Amino acid sequence: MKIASIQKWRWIYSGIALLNLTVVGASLALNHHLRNQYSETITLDDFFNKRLKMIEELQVLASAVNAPGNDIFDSNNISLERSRYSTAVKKYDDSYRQILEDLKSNQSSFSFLKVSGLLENIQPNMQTMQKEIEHVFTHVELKKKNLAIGRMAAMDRNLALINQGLIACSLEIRKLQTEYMNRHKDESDRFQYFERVVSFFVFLIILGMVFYGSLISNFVAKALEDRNLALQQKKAIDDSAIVAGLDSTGTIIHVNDKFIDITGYSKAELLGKDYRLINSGHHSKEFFRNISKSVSDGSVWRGEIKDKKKDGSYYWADSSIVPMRDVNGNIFQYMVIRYDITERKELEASLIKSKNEAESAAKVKAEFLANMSHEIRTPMNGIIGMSNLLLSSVTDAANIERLKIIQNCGNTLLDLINDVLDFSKLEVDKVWFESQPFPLHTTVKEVLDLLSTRSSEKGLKLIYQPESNVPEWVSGDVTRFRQILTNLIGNSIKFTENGSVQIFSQVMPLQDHKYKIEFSIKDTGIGISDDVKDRLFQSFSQVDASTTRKFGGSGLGLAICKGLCEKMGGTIWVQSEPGKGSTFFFNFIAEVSMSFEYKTPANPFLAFDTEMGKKHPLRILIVEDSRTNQLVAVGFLQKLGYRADIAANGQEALDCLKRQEYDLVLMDCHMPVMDGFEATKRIVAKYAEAERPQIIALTASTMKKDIDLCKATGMNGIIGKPITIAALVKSLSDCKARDCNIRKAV
Amino acid sequence: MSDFRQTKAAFDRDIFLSNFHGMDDLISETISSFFTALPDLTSAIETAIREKNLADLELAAHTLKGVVANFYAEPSKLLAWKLEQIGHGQLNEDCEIVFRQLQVELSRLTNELQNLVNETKVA
Repeated sequence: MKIASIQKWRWIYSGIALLNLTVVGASLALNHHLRNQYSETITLDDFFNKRLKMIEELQVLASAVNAPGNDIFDSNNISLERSRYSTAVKKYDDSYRQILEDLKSNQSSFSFLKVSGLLENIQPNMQTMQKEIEHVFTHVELKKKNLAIGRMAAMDRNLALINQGLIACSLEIRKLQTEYMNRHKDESDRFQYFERVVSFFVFLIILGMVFYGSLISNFVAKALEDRNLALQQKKAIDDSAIVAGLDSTGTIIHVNDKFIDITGYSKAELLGKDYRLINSGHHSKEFFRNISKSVSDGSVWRGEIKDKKKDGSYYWADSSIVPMRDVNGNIFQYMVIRYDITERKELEASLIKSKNEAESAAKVKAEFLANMSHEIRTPMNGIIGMSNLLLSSVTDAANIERLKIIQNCGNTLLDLINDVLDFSKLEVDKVWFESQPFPLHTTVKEVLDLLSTRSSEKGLKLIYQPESNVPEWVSGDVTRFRQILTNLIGNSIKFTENGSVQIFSQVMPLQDHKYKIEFSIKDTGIGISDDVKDRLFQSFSQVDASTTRKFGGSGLGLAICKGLCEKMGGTIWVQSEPGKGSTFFFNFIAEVSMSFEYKTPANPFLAFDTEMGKKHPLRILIVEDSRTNQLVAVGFLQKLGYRADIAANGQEALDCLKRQEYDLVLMDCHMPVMDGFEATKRIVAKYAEAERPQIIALTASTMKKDIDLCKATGMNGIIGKPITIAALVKSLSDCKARDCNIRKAV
Repeated sequence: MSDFRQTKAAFDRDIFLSNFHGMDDLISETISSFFTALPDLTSAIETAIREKNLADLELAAHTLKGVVANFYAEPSKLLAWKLEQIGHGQLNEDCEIVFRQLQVELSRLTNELQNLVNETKVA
């Protein structure tokens, strides 16, 4: 269950508990109040009843005062009746005073003012009645019975008035009693309402408790289930992984048996210790800082760590460090779960080492092969050349035939060697492509001329049909273009017995003045089945084994063509039907060196021109530590009509540039003091592009990586050693863009 | 291959001459400059090998490679390239053996270049 959910239920529980306490408190208060109410009602009722009883007693006493005045007529015993009368009056007076004082003393609590007034009002009647009684006694004593009876009637009238006054007092007291009792009744009614409210809340509490109890029950059941699952997961992890628990400071607070087994430490040696105890020192501080940052942020960190065992040996572990949070969401410890991957890491290291060794070996082999190319080709040229010489001097027909066999074998072997070397260069990306203007149609015709003998021998027509918009002059690598064309047309002638081989060309404009030039070579030969087409451009692949036996070849030709096309930004493919012939397509990306409308026969600087320095003046600095190379470069430049300054290293070159502006720097790459790369970097950093000279590398290393390095440092081109006049002419003519500088300087 | 190399020229005379386009004076001057510089070039390689200084070996061999390239002296260039690669840590061969082979090739090269100079003088 989530922490937020637990918090919610905690609030609900607290609410219900608070409500419960409130209701219990209210019930107790209500009960207390009701008990007081009841007690007060009883007391009050008793109070009023007592006063009523006192009034009743006073009424009896008043009658007792009146009784001797009536009884004298029967008893005629005046002294007796006088004595009874005196006693009754005394009792009455005592009772009257007591009642009056009682009423007055409770005046503040109850409104007995009116009752007191009523009681005081009967006293004149009482006094009148007592006078009449005295008259009765006197008349009876004087035997004036009629007069006595008259006084007795007056006496009884006053008694009646006294009784009437006392009844009024009783009624007033009852009225007050009723009033107070009613007031208590109202309070009782209010408490009855309050009791209903409390009852409602009690009902709510009971309902809430039932609902909450149900939820708690479910929660507990889920918690027990989760706990059981967690225990099983813990057991599963403990059985399979190396587990440790760390507190927030990195102190070990828990380890499982696997952790103990792999580290070699006992549990006592590990618990309470810093986790860095097993640090191998293999990883940087930055590595651990990143881990710490990651887990402190609450993320799970995963990675591979090399740790140290107690015995000093090492092991690799695939590790996960999981931050553990308390119910408030604060991280209180980290769980480290690891898997021993030592064997895998050792295997990986072994594989990487093997791979590096293999790559290194392959690289060295490829570079060696590329460097050996001249060595391999030269003896073959010697064999073929010598056999040619011998052919011109030998007259014996049998020997001539043998020499022709040697020559043919030599040519075949040379072709195969060339194929293998080209293919190996393509494989290691060592083929260097030139980009120089060349006449496209003329080149095609030259290839056709070269192959015309072979096609004529078979009676095949060779036809070239370019589309009208295909330009004559394009910039590209004429040698590679010729190689592809020769291979494809040669193949078509080889596999065609009757009919023709037609060559078509078309051009498709692209962006940035570039064009895709596409050629197709259509023959009426044996054709190729679909299942063979897919592997046709793979290395060492021919239609079938019998093809090699019948037609010869290395099986690399089309793979080389494919590689060359792709390097020139194009592609190659075939459409064919067995028995009907094949059409091979290839295209490449080239710049059109002259506009379609203004066809100029040739680049003026491509020819050897001793006046070039006058026609195209440039200020040149040669940076070269070898005196011999300096001589050659200066000599060639002089032949073209240029003079040049010389610096022996990069530092001297920088000094020269401070003193004077140059349009072109021919920069050797490897020199003492400061090499050409560093010098170029400094020039590029110091001078804006428009203000700095063109920098052309002079280097004996023309591998792709060397060329890439030259470009990366900011050099504009490269001339491989040995320096040739042709290469110089190209670099000098490419430096035309700085004409403005020359004019400025002039 | 080794049998062939014994009979092979130390430099490609035809290409070398054609690259200089008949500039005989420049040819003589270049060869003379090479003869002058060669002791220092080989000495730099020898010192680097003796002091086991791979960086110096790479630079010295590279410089020599660039110089002999002027003469299209492929055997010397190849051996200089090998030493350069050893210096760069890319080739695991005995540099002293390669250096001895290089010295033999350079000796052949100087002889052949001297012959060329002599022929030019006679002519």
